[in-house]
Amino acid sequence: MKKNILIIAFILPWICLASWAVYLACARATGTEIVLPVMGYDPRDLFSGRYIAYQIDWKRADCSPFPGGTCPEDNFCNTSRFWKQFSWRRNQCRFYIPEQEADELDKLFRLRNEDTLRFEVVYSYRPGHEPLAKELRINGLNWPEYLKQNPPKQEEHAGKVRLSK
Amino acid sequence: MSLAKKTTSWVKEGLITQEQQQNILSFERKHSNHFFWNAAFIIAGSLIGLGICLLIAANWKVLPNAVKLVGDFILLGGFFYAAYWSIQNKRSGLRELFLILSFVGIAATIGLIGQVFQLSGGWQKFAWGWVLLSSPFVFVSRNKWLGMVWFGLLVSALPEVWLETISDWTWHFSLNSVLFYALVYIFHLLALKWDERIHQHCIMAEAIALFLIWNTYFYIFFTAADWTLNHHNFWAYLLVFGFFAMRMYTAMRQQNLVSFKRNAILTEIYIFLIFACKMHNLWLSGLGFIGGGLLILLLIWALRKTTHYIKQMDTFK
Repeated sequence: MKKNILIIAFILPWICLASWAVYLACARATGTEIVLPVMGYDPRDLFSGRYIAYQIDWKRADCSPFPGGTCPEDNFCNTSRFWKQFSWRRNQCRFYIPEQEADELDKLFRLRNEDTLRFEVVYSYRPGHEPLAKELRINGLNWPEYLKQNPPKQEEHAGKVRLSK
Repeated sequence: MSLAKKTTSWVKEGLITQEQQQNILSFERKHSNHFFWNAAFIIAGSLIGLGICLLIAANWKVLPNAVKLVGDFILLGGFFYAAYWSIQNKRSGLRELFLILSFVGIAATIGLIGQVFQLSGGWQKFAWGWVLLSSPFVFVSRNKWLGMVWFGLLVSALPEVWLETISDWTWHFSLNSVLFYALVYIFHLLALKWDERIHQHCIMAEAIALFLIWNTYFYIFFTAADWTLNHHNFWAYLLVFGFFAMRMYTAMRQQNLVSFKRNAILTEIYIFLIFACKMHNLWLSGLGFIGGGLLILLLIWALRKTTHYIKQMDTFK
């Protein structure tokens, strides 16, 4: 009896985690794809560890794909009450990136020029559920592809850094 | 000195017979808790677990997400099975090693799922998931450190409104803060009572009791010291001295020499801190340093005297 309880108690967490992963995979695959422009979260639009911290730029977002044509701002990266008191964590979203590419993307994101670089995140959206980020795009390209096509080069001009396109 | 050497000298002095010495040695061999080996397993488990977390955090581009997830679940299943196997085969060291690896492995798996599916959930969601899913492993463990970490996680996952209120209470000296400490101390006593009943089966109650009393000491010693030394709140002095006096009284009642000594030493350190902070006027810096050095010597002398005096007290004989 005790042996069986132990087996069940040890297997249950594994099943819960596996079910969660399968649910998220299904949810991501079945949702509607929505592309939203993102911006750095001023004043700290930096990489923190191995993820990019961003905020959705609702002013530039196209809300027509959402039900009723209204952007459900509160559904995205809903920051908990405790963290909302710290302005730098309000509605902060994360996109995880590999350690090897962190530096390059970090430079690109920090030194981005609004005219030449457009950052967007592709979400899988289902009404009433938490949206799941699928892809980070730079100028319409998935970020690894963009980095492949545009290896970052820097030119110093009177204290300002300009990214070559 | 080893037990064998000690007991040999006792035999020579005629305190025990040779037969008694053999009985003592065989009893110790049977019941020794292999502290060193168990500690080595616990440290190894923590390091390997943290290493796995870091490897996952690196977010390897060469591995597709599906491969990462499948590999992680196989590894996690392996840890769970190894923990189960070591419990069934009564391998105490290995049991603790694999229970810690299972505990950390669950956190690593939650982190990996969050990374693969780009979840932006905060600490509390993560902590709740970790606490709930790891509870079976923590409750079968005999490692009170693991229990304390688990309980700390549980506290950190409490509703934010509660945490904010507690943080407000402890920030400044007030009746609320005193009542809060009293409540934590009462919970510590209740956990000790609970431990008396279940210690044979589970050490969770002991871990909770330890966590609560350490928290109380932390708040009393550091926060209350801040109230007294930086904000010059007279009532805070009473709180600190009152708490230590109560602990020493309880230690005397229970004939707990270690606890009595610890509290006596903390009281002396606190007195020393009060004097040291009163010397902030360093326009006579030379005199200040000399006075500081003398105070340290005085503290050492007081500590040694106290220890010697406590050992002589009838209560602890």
